Amino acid sequence: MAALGQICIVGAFAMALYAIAGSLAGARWRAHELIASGQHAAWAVFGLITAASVTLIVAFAVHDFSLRYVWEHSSRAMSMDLILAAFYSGQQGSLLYWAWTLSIFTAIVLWQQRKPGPHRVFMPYVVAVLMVIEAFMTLLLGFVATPFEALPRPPADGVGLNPLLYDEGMRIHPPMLLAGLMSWSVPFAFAVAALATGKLGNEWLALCRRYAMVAWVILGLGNILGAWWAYHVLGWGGYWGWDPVENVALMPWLLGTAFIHSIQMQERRGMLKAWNVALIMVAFFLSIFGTFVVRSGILASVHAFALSAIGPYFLTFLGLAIVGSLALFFWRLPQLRSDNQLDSLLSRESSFLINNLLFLGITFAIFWGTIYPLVAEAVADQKVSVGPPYFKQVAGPLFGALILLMGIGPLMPWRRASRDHLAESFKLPIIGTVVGLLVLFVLGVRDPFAVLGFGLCLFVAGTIVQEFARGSMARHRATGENYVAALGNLVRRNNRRYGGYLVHVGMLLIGAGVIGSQVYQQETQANLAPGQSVSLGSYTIVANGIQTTNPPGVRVVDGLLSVNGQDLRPEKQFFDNFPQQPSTKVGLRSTPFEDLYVVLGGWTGDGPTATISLAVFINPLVSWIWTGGALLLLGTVVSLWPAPIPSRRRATVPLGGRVGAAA
Amino acid sequence: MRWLACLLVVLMLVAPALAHADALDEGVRRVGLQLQCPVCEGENVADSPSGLAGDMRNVIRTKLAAGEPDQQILDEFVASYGDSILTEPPKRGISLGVWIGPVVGLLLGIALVALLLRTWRRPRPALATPNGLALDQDAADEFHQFREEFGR
Repeated sequence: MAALGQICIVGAFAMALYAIAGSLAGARWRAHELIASGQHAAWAVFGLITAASVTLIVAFAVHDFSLRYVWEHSSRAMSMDLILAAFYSGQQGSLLYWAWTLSIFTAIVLWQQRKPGPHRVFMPYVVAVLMVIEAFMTLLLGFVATPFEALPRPPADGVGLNPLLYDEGMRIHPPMLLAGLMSWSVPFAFAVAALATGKLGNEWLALCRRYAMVAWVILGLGNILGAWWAYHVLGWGGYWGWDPVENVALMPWLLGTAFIHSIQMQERRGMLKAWNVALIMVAFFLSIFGTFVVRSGILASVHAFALSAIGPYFLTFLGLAIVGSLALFFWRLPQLRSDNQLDSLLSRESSFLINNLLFLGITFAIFWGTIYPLVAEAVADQKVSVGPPYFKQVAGPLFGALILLMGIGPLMPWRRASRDHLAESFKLPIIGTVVGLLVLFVLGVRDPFAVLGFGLCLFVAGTIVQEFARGSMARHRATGENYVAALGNLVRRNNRRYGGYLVHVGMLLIGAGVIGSQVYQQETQANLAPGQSVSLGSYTIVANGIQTTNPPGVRVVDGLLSVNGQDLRPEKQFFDNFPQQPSTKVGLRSTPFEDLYVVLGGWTGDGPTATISLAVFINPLVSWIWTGGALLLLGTVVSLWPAPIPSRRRATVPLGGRVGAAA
Repeated sequence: MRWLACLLVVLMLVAPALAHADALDEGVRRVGLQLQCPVCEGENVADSPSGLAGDMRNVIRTKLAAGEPDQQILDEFVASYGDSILTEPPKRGISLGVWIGPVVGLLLGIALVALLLRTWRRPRPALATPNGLALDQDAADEFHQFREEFGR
C-alpha cells in the first residue's frame, strides 16, 4: 500500500513537471504536439493522484495500520461511513485531498475547453499554472508530508479519529472548505494565461467568470457549513468566533466577491482591467495562505510556525508565486489601460468602485487583525490577543455600508444616473423601510444597532422585491403572460441578474440572522437536581437526571430534559481513545424565529438522580443564516444556468425580416 | 415589502423578550466575554469549558456580588495577566497598532479611489460633436438596458 501510494504521488510529480515543460515549450514554439502532450500529462496527473487517493481510502477501509497516517487517524471500531472523514482529518490527508480536487478541476477545465476555438491560446498557460501548483503539492506529499509513511511493525489497532470529526457537519465542512480554497487556482490560472499571452480583453474573463463563481459558492458554503458545525458541536452558543482559521478562509471569499462584481466593469465598460487581474491574484495568494494556516495552525504563535515541517515550503511557494505574478503583472501593465471614462459619480461604475473599496477594506482589516499577534510577537516580543470585539468593531460598520450599497448599486444605471430616476427608484423601498421600522419599534426593537441593521436589510429587501415586481409587470404588459409565468421567464431569461438578486437576498437573511442573534441572544446557567427547573424566555426546562449508553468505542451521556413538556437530550460523548476530550452535542429546538440551545455542562451522581449543570441560550434568527446559505447556492446555480437562446427562434419569424434579425 | 413586515410582526409576537436571565449571571457573562481564557486557544472566559475559566468566572461572580464595577474587575485581571487577557485589544501600547492598521488602509483606499475617479473624469476628446455620436451611444445604452429589463 505504502509503496503503491508513494509511486503514484512521485509519478504525479514527474508528470506535472513534464506537463509544465511541454505546455510552455509548445506555446513558445507553437508546437501543437507538445501542447497536446502537456495536456495528456495533466490527464495522467489526474489519474495518478486519483489512484493515490483511492489507495489511501482502501487502506482505511481494510484497517491497514502499517501506514502511519491510517494508524493515527482511524481505529477498528470506526464505522465505514467515517472513512472519508478520516481521509482528510490530518495534515497529510487533507493536502492529498486538496491536490486531488485540483486534479479533478484541471480535468474538468481540460474537458470543457477541449473543442477548438479562441480560448485555445490560453490553454497551455492554464495547464502550466495548474500543474505548477500541482507539482508543489505533490512535492510536499511525496517528500515532506507524505500520507504513505510506513510503520516498521504495524500495531494491532489505530489511535482513532479526533472526536470532533464524528459529527456529520464535519464530514462536509472541511472538504467543502478545502475545495473552496483550492478552486481559486483555476481563475488565477486564467489570469496568468491572459498576462502571458497578452490577450487582456474580455475573452479570459468570459472563460474564468464561471470558474470564479463556482469557487465562490464552494468556499462560501464551506464557510457557512463551518459556522453550522461550530454551532452544533462546539457548544458556546455562537457560530463564528473570528478565529484565525475561520478568518483565513473568509478572506479569499471576500476578495472573490469583489472580483465577481468588478469583472462586470470590464465586461460592460472595459474598465478596471489591471485591477481584476490583481484582485484574482491576491485572492489566490490568500487561498494558498489559508490552506497553509488551516492545516498547520501557525497563527497560534511564531514558534509553532518554525516547528511545522511544511511551513517553510509553503512560504517559499507563496513568495515565488507572488514575485512571479507581480513580474508578469508589471510587464503587461501598460496594456491594461481602461477603454472608457467615467461619465458621472452617480453611476453603476462608481458604486462598483465603492463595493471593491469596502470588500478590500474588510479583507485588509481581518488580515491585519489575524496576523497582528504574530507581528507583535516577532517585532516586539510581546503577546497581543485580538479577539472578536476588534473584528466586530472594525468590520461591522464596513459590512453595514456594504448592505446599504447592495440596495443602491443594482438600481444605479450604467454611465449616468439622473436624480429623477433615482428618486423614483428609491421612493417605495424607503417608504417600506420606514413603515417596517415603525412596526419593529412598536414591537420592541429599540436597540440602535438592531434598528440600523434591520433598517438597512429592509431597505435592500425593498429594492429587490421592487426589481422583481417591476420586471414581471413589464413582461406581463409586453407579452400578456400571467404574473407567475412572467416572473419565471424574467428569471430564466435574465438569469445572471436575477440569480444575483437571489444571492443578495441570501446575504440579507444572513445579515438579519447575525444581527438578531448578536443583539438579542439570551443566556442563563443552572444546576438542576431531578425535578428542578429553569426558565428562559418562553421555555421552562425541567431536569430528570442523566442516561448513559455505551455504543462501541464511545460512552454517551444524555441529559434528560423536558422543555415545555417535550423531550430534549443534550449529549456529551467520551471516545475511548480520547477520554480527556469529550465532545458536545447541543440540544437544539429550532423554530424559524429562534433556537433554544441547551448545552450539557456537567453532572454529579448518576442515572435519574443525577444533578446536572446546563448552559441555556436563546439565539434569535439563527436559522435565517442557514436559509441564507441555501439561497446563495440557489442564486449561483440560477446565475450559472445556461441561458436560453431565444433570438434564433425569433429570427425565423418572417416579420419584415430585418426587424426580426435585429432582435 | 408587506410580506416582510408581516413576517417581522409574527416574529415579534412569537418571540417576546420575556423574563431575562438572572442579573448576576448576565454580569458574569458580560465580563467573561471581555476576557481571554489564558490556557485555551481563542476562547473567552464566558464560553470556555476549561477549569481555569470556571475559576475565573467564580472570581468574577464574587466580585460582582461584592458590588465591584465591571471596569475594576477587568483592570484587576489586566494587572495580573497583562493586556493580552482582554479579548478587545486596548488602544494603547503595542496593541494600538492593530487599530491603526485598518484606518490607514481604508484612508489609502479612499485616496486611491478618489484619484482614480479624477483620472477617469477628464473630458473625453472623442465626443466633441454635439449630438451625433454622443446621442447614439446613449440610445445604445438605453436599448441595452431595456433589453435586460424585458428579457431580450
